[in-house]
Amino acid sequence: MSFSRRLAVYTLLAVFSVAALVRADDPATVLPQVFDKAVPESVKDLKEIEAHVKKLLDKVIPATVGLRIGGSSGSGVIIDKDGTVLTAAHVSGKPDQDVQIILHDGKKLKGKTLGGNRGIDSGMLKITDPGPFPFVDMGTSSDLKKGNWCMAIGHPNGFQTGRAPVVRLGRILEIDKRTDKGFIRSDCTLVGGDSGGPLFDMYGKVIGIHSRIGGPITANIHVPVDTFVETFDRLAKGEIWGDALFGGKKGGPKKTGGDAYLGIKVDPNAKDCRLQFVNPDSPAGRAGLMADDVIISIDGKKIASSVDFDNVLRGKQPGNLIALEVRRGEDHLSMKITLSKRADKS
Amino acid sequence: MILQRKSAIALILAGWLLAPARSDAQFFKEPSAGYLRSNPTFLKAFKEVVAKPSESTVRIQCDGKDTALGMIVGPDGWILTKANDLRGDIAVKLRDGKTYDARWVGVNQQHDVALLKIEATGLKPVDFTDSKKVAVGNWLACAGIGETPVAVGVVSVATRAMPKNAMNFPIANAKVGYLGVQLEPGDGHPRVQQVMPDTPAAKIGLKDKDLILALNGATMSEPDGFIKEIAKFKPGDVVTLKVRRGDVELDLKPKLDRRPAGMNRGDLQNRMGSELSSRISGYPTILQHDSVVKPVDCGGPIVDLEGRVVGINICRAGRVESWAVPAEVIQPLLFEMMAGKAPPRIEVAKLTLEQQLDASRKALKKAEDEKAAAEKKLAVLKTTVAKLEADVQAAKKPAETTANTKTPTPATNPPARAKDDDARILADKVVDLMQQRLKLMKDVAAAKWQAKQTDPDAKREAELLDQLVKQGEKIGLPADMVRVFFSAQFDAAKQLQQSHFDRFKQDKIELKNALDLQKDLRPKLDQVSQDLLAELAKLRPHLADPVVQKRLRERAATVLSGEGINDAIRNRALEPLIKR
Repeated sequence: MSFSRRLAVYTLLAVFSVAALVRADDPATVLPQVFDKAVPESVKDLKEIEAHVKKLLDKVIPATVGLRIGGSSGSGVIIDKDGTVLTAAHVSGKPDQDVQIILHDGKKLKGKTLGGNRGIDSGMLKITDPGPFPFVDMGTSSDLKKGNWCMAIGHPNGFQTGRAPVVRLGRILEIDKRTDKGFIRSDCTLVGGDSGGPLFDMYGKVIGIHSRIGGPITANIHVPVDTFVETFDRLAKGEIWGDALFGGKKGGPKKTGGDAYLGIKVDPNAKDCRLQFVNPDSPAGRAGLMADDVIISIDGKKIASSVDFDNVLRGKQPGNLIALEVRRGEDHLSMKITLSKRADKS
Repeated sequence: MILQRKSAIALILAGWLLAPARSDAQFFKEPSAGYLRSNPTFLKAFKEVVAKPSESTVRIQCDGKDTALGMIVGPDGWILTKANDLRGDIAVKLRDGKTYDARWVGVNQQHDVALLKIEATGLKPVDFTDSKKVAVGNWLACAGIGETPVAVGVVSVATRAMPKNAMNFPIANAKVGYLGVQLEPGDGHPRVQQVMPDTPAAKIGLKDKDLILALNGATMSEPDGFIKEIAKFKPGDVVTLKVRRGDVELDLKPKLDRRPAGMNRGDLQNRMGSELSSRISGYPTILQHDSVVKPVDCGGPIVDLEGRVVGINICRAGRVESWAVPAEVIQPLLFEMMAGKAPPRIEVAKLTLEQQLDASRKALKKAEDEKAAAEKKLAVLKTTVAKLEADVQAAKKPAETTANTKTPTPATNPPARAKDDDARILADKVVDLMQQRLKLMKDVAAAKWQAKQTDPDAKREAELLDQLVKQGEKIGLPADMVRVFFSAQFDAAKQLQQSHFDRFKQDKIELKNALDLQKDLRPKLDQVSQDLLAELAKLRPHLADPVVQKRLRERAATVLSGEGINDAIRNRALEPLIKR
């Protein structure tokens, strides 16, 4: 009797010790209690977060990479030992292009682009130099809740020699779980060059890929990782699908009609011709047009709505000089802009 | 080459197209969830972290406007802050609300830090730690003068050396010289409308409304012409500008820079969502963190969870980054700046004032030398006259021979008289200097009254005394003599100051425009003390001479008087020189 009891105790201990081992080796499998709280309430809580984040970083920073494709820069994350890299579709672009992959320590590797869903902005590429490579696992984005802690890593403003991947800590602010158009919003700040970089949960798993930003400091948008899981084979095969987010054929700033390109998006909900976005690298951007500017007239013709604007622009050709009258706050501005030819980015 | 980057950024900016089902406006609203790090609920956890550092944090105001934060780095009113945005009249507001006028005493342009001095004591300095002790991902809190931090975040990149000439985000350059001013037509010359921050113009101290008279000797009449001429120079060239500021004409030699291009894409994205600092490049060493610090909150301490200062927040550098200059970089600069080895950038207006002071001092010295020379000459003439009078008297006596008149034997009396006169002059000189010193006490008292620091500083006095003893020894003065003499001068000075304080108190006098003790008065006092040492050394061999003793008393009775100098003060000051 006493024997069997002892055995039972031993068994329990063994189970506990296994659990303890898991915790010690991979602390991310069990989150410290502070992550259950809405906000850290004390220095002790803050220290708990700090210690946990530090352990995660040791693992996830080496898997975060800088990317150079042609003259453009972006970021990415390695998700298997063979060097499969997740990034944004607007970074990877066309399949089978040469890519330079820059590891966190500055080591440069060669690779080729694979597929991408331009609609949701998921992209993939592969390191062609021999591995193995440090990598991280993909997590699940559909489980995320508002207020979950997250961590963004990447190469803001492009890879810079002597600068390790840049860390930002924040919270999930919003999740849109639609498979075709979903996104994650966080307050981990992003900027150009971060695109394609990983968003991690507190288990150290990839939950999103950096995609785009909005005006406020809290408008940072990531592609949910679930879409990568769901379309993994298509991406790996080099398939390209979906309409690009901006500047493309259908989803882009279509409002300039034929070939003539101004580079703005008119707010569809506004009563007047109010600009919602201005592509800084367009005739409009270079002329200094800004979001929230209201176009009053083009070549002397009154513009009262986005429809008026479309109609006028449709009659223009690339190279045409148009005279714009614009209201900015209380100021009235006049400017002349030469329209360019819409670039086919696919 | 640009295309892909171009398209990448366009996509990022255009993200909202993806979510047509949602109102776009939703994304442009700032959420106000309690778990956001800017939310007071969240910041509460950091109260304890910044409890101590915030006591060492100050608000810097320039011309009455909040400009930056700063931190106390010495208990006697030493304040460290960010240099780039300092201008005009600088004031320092402590956590308790007390506000002091500040003097700008040191700067390091490269690291963008400035040292200020306020006339306050007993302040609590910050506690520095090596920034390398904080790991990537560690919490950082930006202390303000309130209970909670002005911002919090984590270390994004460990302390690193920045590549030389690195810009935070690429800014195109032309190979054209750049001064950094906006001009308007003035009175026949281009006039500065605005000096752009962090440009050669700002560094050399050009000011709004300065009239640019000439460039390298060639007269300038129109803004356009001037711009054209400047553009003919290359970045790095040093040009000479003749500038008129009010009634003053100045020669300034700015070193031209590269002309920056207009805002590019990276710039645009980096400016989305938060205001950036006026300077965001050229920092040699930085610690990068993801706190969203307002430019006006830079200059203050950034601390780890132990409340130790790992650096000074130096700029909001981009959408994802704020930068701090690490503590280990700041600390050696502090000593340099405190020692006066790094005075602030050329503030031309101040320079001319200082030049005036310098010139006046020199003129005073010259006048004193001339006076001394004239007195010597006077003494010699007196002697000569006395001697000739004696000779004339002697010639009238029948017993004298003509030969004697031609080659008179040296008479003992007149030279002795000359010697006495010389000694008297030396005595006068010492008493006059003692008077000069005491007369300064009126201003000293006013300065202390204004700064509300009327208690004597025994430590400083002792240090000063030691210093004077040392200097005295160099010119052969015994230590005891110097110590006794200057102790008496200090006592007399304190008595006199107290009588001024009593008067201020009785008349309920509030002072506003008193001279600055440190800047204006101490140099004068030091000069007088130096002169006193020199004159004491000359007087010492004659001090026991009854002629000198008599003279000292007589001179003191007439000169050491007025402006509150009473018998007690006079006797105390004179005491060490009088033999009993």
